Amino acid sequence: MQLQYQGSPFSDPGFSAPELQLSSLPPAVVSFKTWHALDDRERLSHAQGAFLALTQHLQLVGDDQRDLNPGSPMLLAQIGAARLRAQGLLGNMAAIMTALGLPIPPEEDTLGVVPFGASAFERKCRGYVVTREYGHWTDRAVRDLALLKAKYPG
Amino acid sequence: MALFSVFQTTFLLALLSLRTYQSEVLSEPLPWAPESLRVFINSTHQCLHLQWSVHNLAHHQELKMVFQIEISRIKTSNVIWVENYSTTVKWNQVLHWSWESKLPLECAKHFIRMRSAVDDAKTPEQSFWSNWSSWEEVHVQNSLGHDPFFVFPKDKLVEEGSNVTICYVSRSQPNNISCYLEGVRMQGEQLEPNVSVFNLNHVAFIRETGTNIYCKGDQGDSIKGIVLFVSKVLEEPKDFSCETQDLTTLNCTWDPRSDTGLLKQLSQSYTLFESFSGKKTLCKHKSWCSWEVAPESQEMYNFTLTAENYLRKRSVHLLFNLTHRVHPMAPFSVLFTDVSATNATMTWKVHTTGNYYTLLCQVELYGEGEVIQRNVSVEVDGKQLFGGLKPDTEYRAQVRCANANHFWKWSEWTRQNFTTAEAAPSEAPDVWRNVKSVQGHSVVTLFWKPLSKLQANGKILFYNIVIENLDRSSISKLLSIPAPANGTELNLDQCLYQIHVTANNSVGTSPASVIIVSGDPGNKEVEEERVKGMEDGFSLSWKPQPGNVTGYIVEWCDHPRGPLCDLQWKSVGPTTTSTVVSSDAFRPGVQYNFRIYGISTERVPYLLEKKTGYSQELAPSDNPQVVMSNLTSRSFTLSWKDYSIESQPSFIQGYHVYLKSKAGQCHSGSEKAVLSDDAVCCKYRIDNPKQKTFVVENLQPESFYEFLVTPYTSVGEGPHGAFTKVTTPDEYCL
Repeated sequence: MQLQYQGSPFSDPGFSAPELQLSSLPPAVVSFKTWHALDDRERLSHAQGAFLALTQHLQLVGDDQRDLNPGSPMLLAQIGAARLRAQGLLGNMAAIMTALGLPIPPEEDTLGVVPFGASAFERKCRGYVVTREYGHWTDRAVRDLALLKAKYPG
Repeated sequence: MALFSVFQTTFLLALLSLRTYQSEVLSEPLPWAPESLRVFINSTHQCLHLQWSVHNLAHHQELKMVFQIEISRIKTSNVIWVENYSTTVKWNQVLHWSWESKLPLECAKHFIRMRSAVDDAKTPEQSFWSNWSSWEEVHVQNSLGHDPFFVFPKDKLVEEGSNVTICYVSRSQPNNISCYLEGVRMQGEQLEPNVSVFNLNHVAFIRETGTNIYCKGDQGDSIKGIVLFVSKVLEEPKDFSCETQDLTTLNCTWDPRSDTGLLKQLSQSYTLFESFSGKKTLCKHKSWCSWEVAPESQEMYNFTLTAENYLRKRSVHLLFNLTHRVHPMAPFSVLFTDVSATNATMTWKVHTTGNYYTLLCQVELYGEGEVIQRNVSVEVDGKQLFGGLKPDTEYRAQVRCANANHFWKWSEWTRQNFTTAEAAPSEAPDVWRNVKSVQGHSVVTLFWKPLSKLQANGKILFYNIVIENLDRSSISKLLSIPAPANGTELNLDQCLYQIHVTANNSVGTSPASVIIVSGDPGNKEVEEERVKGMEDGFSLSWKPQPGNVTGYIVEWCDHPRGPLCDLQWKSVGPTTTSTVVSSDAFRPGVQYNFRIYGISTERVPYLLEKKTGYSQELAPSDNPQVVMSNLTSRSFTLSWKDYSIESQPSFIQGYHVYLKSKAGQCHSGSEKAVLSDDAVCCKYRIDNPKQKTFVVENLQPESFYEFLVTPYTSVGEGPHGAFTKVTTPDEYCL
């Protein structure tokens, strides 16, 4: 739905631009072999770091979209809901890490210096990247948690 | 020859001048060359802004100069713009000049230089160009990063219909970059190996959130783009008008036409400026504005309404006199006083401003099917008398006002209703009677029709009946019958009675209807005439009476066959001798009887004529019960004594007797007839409806016959149903 609001090329059916990335957001895509070989600490801290970055990036995208699509309360509500879910997942990760006796990495500012003068097109691009990564990271987190659950049934 | 010498002189003179100045040229530059040239870049507006000054001017020296400015793109030899800028230069003045580039400045390097010349009549020998300043390079630095290419201009706001130039700047070459407008591939031109340009002509408004233009490299290495914000063209406000309600506030309104607001641009704002007072206000609403009027001061107003957005301004003007634009508030406090049955006084108030200008008020009164209109001049209070109104009627009144001198607009209507008082009924009720003689006395049923609203003048509460015995000159009875009632029954003896009937409402009594009733009907035998009914009723006429009559009454029963006759009557005036009687109750196949009475001057009804008829005759639906007797070998007698010709659906004109026989011969007195089932028989005709017997003769002995008796009328005969069978006996058997 977010993509529909941005116009072409984002709204074109089947649009995909994997080469578009944000340096401040860890990419979810990783080789299966690498992913499977991660230890608990690495697995959880990657996810934790990703969702921390996503909550902050979704805030930025929400602000961007408020400017770009002011008459679209449903879109803004969806972004807000995604941000809340990301925060929820962050909490879940922290709980699991504590249960496993792993240290929780400190919260850091993942966005850093945001270029305020980003043009409208640049903001549309980053909205696309953030929502794409949010989707991929959520899928990955589901797999991570399944793996951990199998390992620690209790 | 002369030419050559002139040329030589000129040449020498020039040489001399050159010599004179050569040292100066070699030693120092021209004293009035442009210096301290600075270029400012406004990339959002794609503008270059130049600043420079001219040194070596004396204090208070003013010099008229011309500056020639050259702009090149990509390389200095590619000059794209030359302009001469003339201005007067003062000592220590910083000069300015701007240039707008069609191509975004980020797309190519630009170079700028200028030279000057004095354009002053006072010093003509100085009027040639100084040296060119050195080329100033204008290069807009793109943000350093890893992006392989960039698209420009970013987030540009333009008006619909304008031309826009887009470019992409690539880091490397060769590049296979393709660019799209709203998903449709654009064709471009290469400016430089790294730079391509796209010219968009007459851009259209697509949506308020802008138009996406993006480019992508073929290696899938990046998508870069811009959003072009196309604004609708700001239109001149339409229908600009101002008016006042009270000479203290002006209310100006207009039609803003299309809203040019978009993501990148606020909706247009409206400003009102008045030139005589010099006051200006920013309007808070997009289609109206209030203006405070200084009391008693300004009469003429010259307004300019300006619509403005980021890109454009549009204005309209209005000049008017304040007192010519008065749109008063609606009148208030509408009251009706002194309301009688036929008169009423209407009062109302108008809003005044203390300026004492006269208003013209329009009053309209709506009653039942009538409208009364008045125009009244009013300063503070309005008053209007109305007469000739109908009693007990609701009237709807409305009033509105406008400026009496220099009419502009009517105020809104103010409405108020009132009802006139009741008055006594204006007409006597329409009264009739039915007299039945029963064992020595009369039962008189009185009937009256309710008064119409126009006659009643109020709600009828009761009917008064005064019965006066004329034989004994005394009042026998006084009856008061509450409404609604349309009749009453009286038991009277055979004396002569005079009956007064009046209808009464809360105000008074109607004129009386007077009718004389005598116990003895004394009606002479009157011939009954047959009439034929039509679709809308019966057309009846009668002979006018030689004596004086006050009117005629036609009486009939709506249901002559029913248990209740449902007596109806119609009154007509003394000069009328025909009328059409219609009733919703008239049915086909029913015989209606009409009695026509004349009312003498003494109020006594006399029966004059009787009419009878069917509104529509119907063929008889059954045949009489026939009894056969006196059967002989050659004849038999038929009789139907019990058959009543009175209660038939049409006038019986006679009978047909049908006789079927094997022989098929018809004797005299009969004719051959073919029935609907193709059977042949003999038909005898009886012309007298009162005849109830018939002898069938000339028959054959020992023969089988069948007969049918059926009445015939003007609309057909009875059904040809079952025939009765009879066989004649043998001749010699007794």
